[in-house]
Amino acid sequence: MTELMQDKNDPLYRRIILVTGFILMAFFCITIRILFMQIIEGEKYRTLSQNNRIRLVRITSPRGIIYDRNRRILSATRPSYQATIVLEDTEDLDSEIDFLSKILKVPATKLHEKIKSSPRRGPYKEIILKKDLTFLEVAALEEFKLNLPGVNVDVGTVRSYPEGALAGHVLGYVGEISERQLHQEMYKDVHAGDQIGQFGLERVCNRFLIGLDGGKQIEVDAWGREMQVLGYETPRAGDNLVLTVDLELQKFIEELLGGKAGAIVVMDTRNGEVLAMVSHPSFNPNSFASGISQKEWSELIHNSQYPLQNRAIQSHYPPGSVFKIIVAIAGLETGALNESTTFYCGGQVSIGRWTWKCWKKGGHGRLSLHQAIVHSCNVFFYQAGAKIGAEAIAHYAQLFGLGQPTGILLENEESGFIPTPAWKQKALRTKWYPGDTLSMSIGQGYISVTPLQAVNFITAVANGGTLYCPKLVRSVLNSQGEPIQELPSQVIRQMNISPKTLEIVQRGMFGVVNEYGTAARAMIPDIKVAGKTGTAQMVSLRDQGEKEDLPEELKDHAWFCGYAPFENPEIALAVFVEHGGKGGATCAPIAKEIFLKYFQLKQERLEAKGNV
Amino acid sequence: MFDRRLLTNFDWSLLGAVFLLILCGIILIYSATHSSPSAMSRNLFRRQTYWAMIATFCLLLTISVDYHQIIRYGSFFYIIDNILLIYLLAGGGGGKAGVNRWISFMGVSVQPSEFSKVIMVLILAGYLSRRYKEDIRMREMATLLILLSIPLVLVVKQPDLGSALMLLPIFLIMILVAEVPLRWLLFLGAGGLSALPIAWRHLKPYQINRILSFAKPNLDPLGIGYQVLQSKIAVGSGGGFGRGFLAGTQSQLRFIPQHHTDFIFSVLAEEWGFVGCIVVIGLFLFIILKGIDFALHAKDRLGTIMAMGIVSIFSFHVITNVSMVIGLMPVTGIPLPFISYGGTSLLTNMIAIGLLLNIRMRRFS
Repeated sequence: MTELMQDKNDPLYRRIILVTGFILMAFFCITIRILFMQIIEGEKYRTLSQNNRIRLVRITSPRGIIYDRNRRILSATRPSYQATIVLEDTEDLDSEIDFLSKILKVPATKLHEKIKSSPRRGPYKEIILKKDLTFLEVAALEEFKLNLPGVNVDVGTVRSYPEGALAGHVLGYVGEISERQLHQEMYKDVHAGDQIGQFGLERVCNRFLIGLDGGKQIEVDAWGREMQVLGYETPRAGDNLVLTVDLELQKFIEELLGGKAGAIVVMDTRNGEVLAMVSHPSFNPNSFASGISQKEWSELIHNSQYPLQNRAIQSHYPPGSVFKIIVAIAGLETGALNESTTFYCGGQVSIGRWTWKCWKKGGHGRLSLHQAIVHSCNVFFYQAGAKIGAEAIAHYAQLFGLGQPTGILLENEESGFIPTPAWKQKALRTKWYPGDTLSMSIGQGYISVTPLQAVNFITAVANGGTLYCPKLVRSVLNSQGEPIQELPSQVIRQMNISPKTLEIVQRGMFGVVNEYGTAARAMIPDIKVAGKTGTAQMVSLRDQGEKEDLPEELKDHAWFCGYAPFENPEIALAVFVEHGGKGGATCAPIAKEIFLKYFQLKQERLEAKGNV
Repeated sequence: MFDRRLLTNFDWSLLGAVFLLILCGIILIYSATHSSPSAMSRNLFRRQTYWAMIATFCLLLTISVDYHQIIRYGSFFYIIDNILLIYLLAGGGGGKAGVNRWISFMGVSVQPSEFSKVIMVLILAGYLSRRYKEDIRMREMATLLILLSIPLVLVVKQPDLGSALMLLPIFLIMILVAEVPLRWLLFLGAGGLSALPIAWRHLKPYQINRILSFAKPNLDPLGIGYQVLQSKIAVGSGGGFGRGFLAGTQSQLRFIPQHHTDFIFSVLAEEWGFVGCIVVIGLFLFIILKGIDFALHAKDRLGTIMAMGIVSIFSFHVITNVSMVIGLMPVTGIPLPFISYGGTSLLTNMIAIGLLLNIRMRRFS
């Protein structure tokens, strides 16, 4: 043996043993640690490895389509390109974001925010940076692909409204689910980042349209790439809606209002179906679909004309002379008036210390109820109203659905207002003066109605006393297009108004258009139109006279309500134009155009059917 | 050249253990890469086999020359290796992303920093064998430190902190065994500790992240702690008998980055379980204990110091690598000897084994 080994006390020997001891200790620790991890904690790590490789991938269900009554598409989902980023694949995130911000024209800070706010469910997860890329953006991204590692162009979907702003207030729009909505029971199947209906029918009928997401359980590798499908659940596509709205009529009407703010509702008098609901100015729901920009949003909400407001159901104004129809019905039904009742109009009437004027200087002379409706004589209705009494008028107004929401399938409907003496005492702590009754008799003062309420009550007058709940959705179809639910017309109440009363009022309305009454401009040669004009006054009646010189914003609001054909009514409409001046001059010609279009479309469709 | 005496003292069991480990390595590399999308990756186990052949040839070359002869060329190897390291730092490797670790030579990449470890053993053994306890003074200590510092700094600059740090235990064990007086060791220890804060400030962000993620692996499980967490899951889920060849989901689905190189132990632990780990660790321990035995029974001081230097290379590679995989140490790019994929590493390790065998064979000559 060597000389080294002969002396175990040799320091060299001792030092080697020291090193050996250290090495053995280290190996012992390592072995114990492995033993602990594999044998004692093995189960825990096995579960972790399962979680690692098995992932549930959501398969989003396509949102249902919204059709018009003739199955033309109003709202659908179309494929689109979106820019996504996988953080793990990027090389220099900051400079890539700067570059992307130039291509996508989105501020870099916004892109950083998007990345930060996106939930990180695992490594190699795609984060959507911008939806609905234009062709140029896609081309630019592809061109600079090598400079942008980790950035991809993917196919996604975006809600699209092929007719643009058409019926925007009815259809509404979709948007990303908010933090608050995520906690609501009704959205329990919706995930962060998903789109849901946020306004209009998209929102109200969201539960039909949204469908149910499917999913698949897949085994993935570390990059999240699919290796094997372990389970599959097919998504259920959203149901489709068929509306009562007629796309062509709606489109035609939307162009009639021009630059004016206002609302027009057309209703089928036989079943309460809404054929058109226009609120002007409108907005384009497409701008919400791919995420509205701050600038666009701010323009919409700060616009002095409030384009987001659905004036057909959310604006309420005094109905003006349109209300005289209610007063006439109340008078005839209570017996205060009859067909042969006459009053004298000398251009004004004095009650107490105040004098109340008719719109016609010099007055109408003595006239019957029929003539009073035709010429919309205020003095006749002041006297009639005083005789009927405010309570009776309010009762009939409420019977015809005024002062309460119609119950249409849209949110935030206003109820309008019908004043009563009891209300005034309670709310304003003042007496109901006779003057209040006079104002009410010609549809001014505290009273207010929405355009939808107006057309709804005209419908009831036209169809013999059936008050419908206005209907927007005709049926629900499944994704294959088979009807799964027909929505029947709902009658709010069948009014017990005598046929005689309705006939007198209807003939009066016919006279308004056809006997050189206030709406002679709505007269159509071959179609018998009945209607009533109205003017919601902005300034007191007593200052009347110089109204033509008033600035635009102080001009009266104009109304026309009517229906056609007179003998066998099919459609009723309400035309309301803000600051439109006189109803007869502004609204009656618009109504005429609508009636013409409706009957022309009807004729064309009949012929098309005959030819098939 | 081989006389009969040499052959009788040839330790076949040591070589057997080494070949078993290499075989395990090739099987594990196959398992780790066979499902890879890249054909080049799928071919790595074959490349490793070729490297094993080349390495075996080099081993034979190493044992054919007396280690006293080899030591004589120690300075020559030392200079050549450092020139290569300088060449790399000067951009000679053409490496991307600021990493200059490989030199391509006739289509084969070699990693000079791997050679540095064995060369460090040669140069230190040569120097220390000629100097005894009482010879070591300030001048000798300075020389030793300079011999250590040149490759250390060059490798740190590559940057390959892990490989560079591996030179430290080799150095320490060798001067310890060579009976360098205790006061010098204490002096070195104190100096090293006081240098730590300075070193910390010179770490690269990813190096700091590795240390942080070691301290708190759950801090950011998808970011810096990802690798360690996934590796621990792989090891733990292996259980007693493992999930079977090619059946480890962590390895097969590539949750562990670098699982055919630095993290190959996690594939072993997942697929072969505790039993597999014990066998492999046992083989390493066998080699190390053999080396220590050779050191104790070496013919002279040179053989002993050299053998202990080589023992320290293996010991610290195994300890550091396995500790990193099971989350006991921060992530450092240290391969597992004989098992991790890597030609240069295999080559150096086989040469080191060759040196051990050489010391054993010539203990009586």
